Amino acid sequence: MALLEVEDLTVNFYTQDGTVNAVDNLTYSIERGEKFGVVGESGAGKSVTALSLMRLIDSPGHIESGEIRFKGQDILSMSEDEVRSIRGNEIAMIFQDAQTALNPVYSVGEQIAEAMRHHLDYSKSEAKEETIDLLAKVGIPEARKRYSDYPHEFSGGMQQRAIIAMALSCDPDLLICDEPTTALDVTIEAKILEEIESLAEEFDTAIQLITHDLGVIAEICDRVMVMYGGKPVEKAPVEELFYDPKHPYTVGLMSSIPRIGDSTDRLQTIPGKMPDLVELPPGCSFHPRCPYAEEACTLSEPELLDTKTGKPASEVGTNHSAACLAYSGDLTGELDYSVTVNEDSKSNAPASQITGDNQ
Amino acid sequence: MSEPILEARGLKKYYDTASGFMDSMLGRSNKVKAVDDIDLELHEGETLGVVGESGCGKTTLGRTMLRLIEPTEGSVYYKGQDLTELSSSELRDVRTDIQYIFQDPFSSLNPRMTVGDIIGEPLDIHGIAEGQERDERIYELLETVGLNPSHSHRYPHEFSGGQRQRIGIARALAVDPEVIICDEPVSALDVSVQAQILNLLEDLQEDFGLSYIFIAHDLSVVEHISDRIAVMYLGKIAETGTTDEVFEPPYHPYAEALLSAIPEPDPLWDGEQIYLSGSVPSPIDPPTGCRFHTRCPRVIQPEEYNMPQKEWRQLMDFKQRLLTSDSLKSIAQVTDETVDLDSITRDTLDELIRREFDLPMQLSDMQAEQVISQAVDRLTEENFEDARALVADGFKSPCEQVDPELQSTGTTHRIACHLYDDDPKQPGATNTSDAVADD
Ligand code: SF4
Ligand code: SF4
Repeated sequence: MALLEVEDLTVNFYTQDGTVNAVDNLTYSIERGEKFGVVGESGAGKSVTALSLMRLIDSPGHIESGEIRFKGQDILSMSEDEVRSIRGNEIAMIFQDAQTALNPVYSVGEQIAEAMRHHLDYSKSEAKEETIDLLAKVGIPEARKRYSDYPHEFSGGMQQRAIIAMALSCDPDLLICDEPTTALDVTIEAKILEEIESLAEEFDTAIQLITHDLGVIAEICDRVMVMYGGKPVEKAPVEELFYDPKHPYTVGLMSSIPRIGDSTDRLQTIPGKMPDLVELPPGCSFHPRCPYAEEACTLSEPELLDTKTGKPASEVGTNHSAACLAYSGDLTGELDYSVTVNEDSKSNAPASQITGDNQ
Repeated sequence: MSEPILEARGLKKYYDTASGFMDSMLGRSNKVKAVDDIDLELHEGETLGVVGESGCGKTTLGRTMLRLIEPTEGSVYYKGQDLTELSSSELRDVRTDIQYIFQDPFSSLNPRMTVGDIIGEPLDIHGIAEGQERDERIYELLETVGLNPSHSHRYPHEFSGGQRQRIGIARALAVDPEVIICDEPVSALDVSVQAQILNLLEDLQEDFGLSYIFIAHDLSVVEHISDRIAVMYLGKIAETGTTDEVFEPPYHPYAEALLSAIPEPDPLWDGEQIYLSGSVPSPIDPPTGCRFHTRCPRVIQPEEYNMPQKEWRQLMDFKQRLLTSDSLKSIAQVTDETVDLDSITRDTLDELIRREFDLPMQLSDMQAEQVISQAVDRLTEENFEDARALVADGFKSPCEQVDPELQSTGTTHRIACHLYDDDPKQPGATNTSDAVADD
């Protein structure tokens, strides 16, 4: 049994403009200690998945159907009390905006210590000592002195570290990080990612990392799910995703990021814009932007298929899956792109480059 | 090379944060040195990337160059004409030649204006076109930036982020400028849309012979679009050169750290990341000498010392901490409550301090070891003043004393760092690969 199993999750938001199908029939699982990435652009439904796990979807949002099993227990059918005891304790979350996660009127140390006492039954002084230890561990200098500082006395990077400390304080089994470093400068980002990674390793914590940044995914994750228009379009181990992407959207995304050392003048682009979730295009939602779209793509909606066998993807047996008609044999043409992996002289690592008729 | 089309000379922008009567009476001038003595040249048809992290002054620089913000000192020349000397009506005329694109093009605009009016406004202000001609120009501009002319009656909120940025670009193009200063034009956009806008900017540059100053925090974007790059740190330029020069050694240590920190979109990439000490200091009271010395992994050792570079960096961190603290709590790592700092023995304190700063119990350099051990003696007596004096005097880097000037390391490449001083006494001046190996 995987640590987390999400099955057929569907979340809608009821707005004035109509029903927004934020997440549609989403299935994935995360193993203990695994680092699972969720990548996509705005409106892909990434953050909604995170909020659903914590059962934090508020009106006008509604979890329509599906199951979210954590250690085998369905979070969606738990009582509010049961959910609360899991939240922050067994599942912790790091948001992009550290400021909103810290209470401005309590000192940073107190907040963390309080969370620990609440969840772990520590005495006051135990909790304080543990907190100082943890603050030092996440790289906050002068931890003992800074214990009693208020959030506003911390810089952005320090606040984010404090949030990490808070998230780890109860030794969670699953850490959900939603764009944890997006608001930070790149030198600070590098440090924080490194800390999240090594702490997760140390505590054997599984991570669900949600981001728009493929660089961050490449650095941290073992396995990745790419989302588009509320649906997963590809799931693969990280190396396969980068060096052998199977879905045209993933291919487009990979080739539109500027890469250092690549001297081509023009970037490849994905034409058009993200679809409107109120009115998703029929068939494959990517078809208006897909260079390989055919008539069939406007008619039938592709399901996630094992890219090797063409059979429906299963959480257990499937390694690499993609939701594209090319894998069910319903496409007459071929996905005509190629990935060349070059040996990068500077880093000795392969750097992939994708070419195709994406233009 | 030809005369630059736009040029900054000794440009400064200081903000006064003195918060009132008491401050000014006591002569406390809290000047934020957002842009501090910058020289910059933009040549015709090129893209100059200006990159740096938040608070480095890049946006202030961009705005000062167009006098959207008045510079404190210095000059900005456009085709030889000093913009800082112009009257406001003369300046208005020049603004048809130099335009500015913001990260969010509509933050300052009336949401009730149609797209046509947004693009038409500069035409009206500068009396460029009216009536039928004005409409046609608007349609043409919309088409130029890849939008449907029939959209000119719509309102900004009806457009996606990428389309809005296209409208912002059309508005800038309306007056047929020569130079556009682009301030983080793609940082709020999704990756796939970002690529579209970057391509559009490149196409327009070619079609209309534009010159760009491209301000951004994202190094991969800057690398992609720029011919030349200036890397800023705390109000100053740390390194400047062609894109290739900046992305290859020799590096300014800050630029090097910045490059190493970019998360590469390749899972097997295993380049070494350089981590910096501490955080960016306040621009109100920037560090003396080289502003990067408080964090620089390569900060230079005094001639009399010889120790691994990492150890020296840690000693500098220790010094900085000690100079600003007056309690043992903030310099010794105490995670165990049984340790009482008020009655601590010398040896325990010694150990705790070295643990906090990751220093060996015996420094590799005997002379430096003497300094730190005497400082610990003083600290055991809680004599902070003498301890501070000891380390201030004993651990003094040349980097703290003299502000490094930008100096040429190639015809177009310039770096502001003492490692590249000609003075052969400085370590690293002749052999920079040594310094690399130390990290
Ligand atoms: S199903 Fe058709 S439109 Fe969708 S990704 Fe595959 S080829 Fe493109
Ligand atoms: S001058 Fe010294 S502190 Fe500044 S960048 Fe160079 S080595 Fe580092």
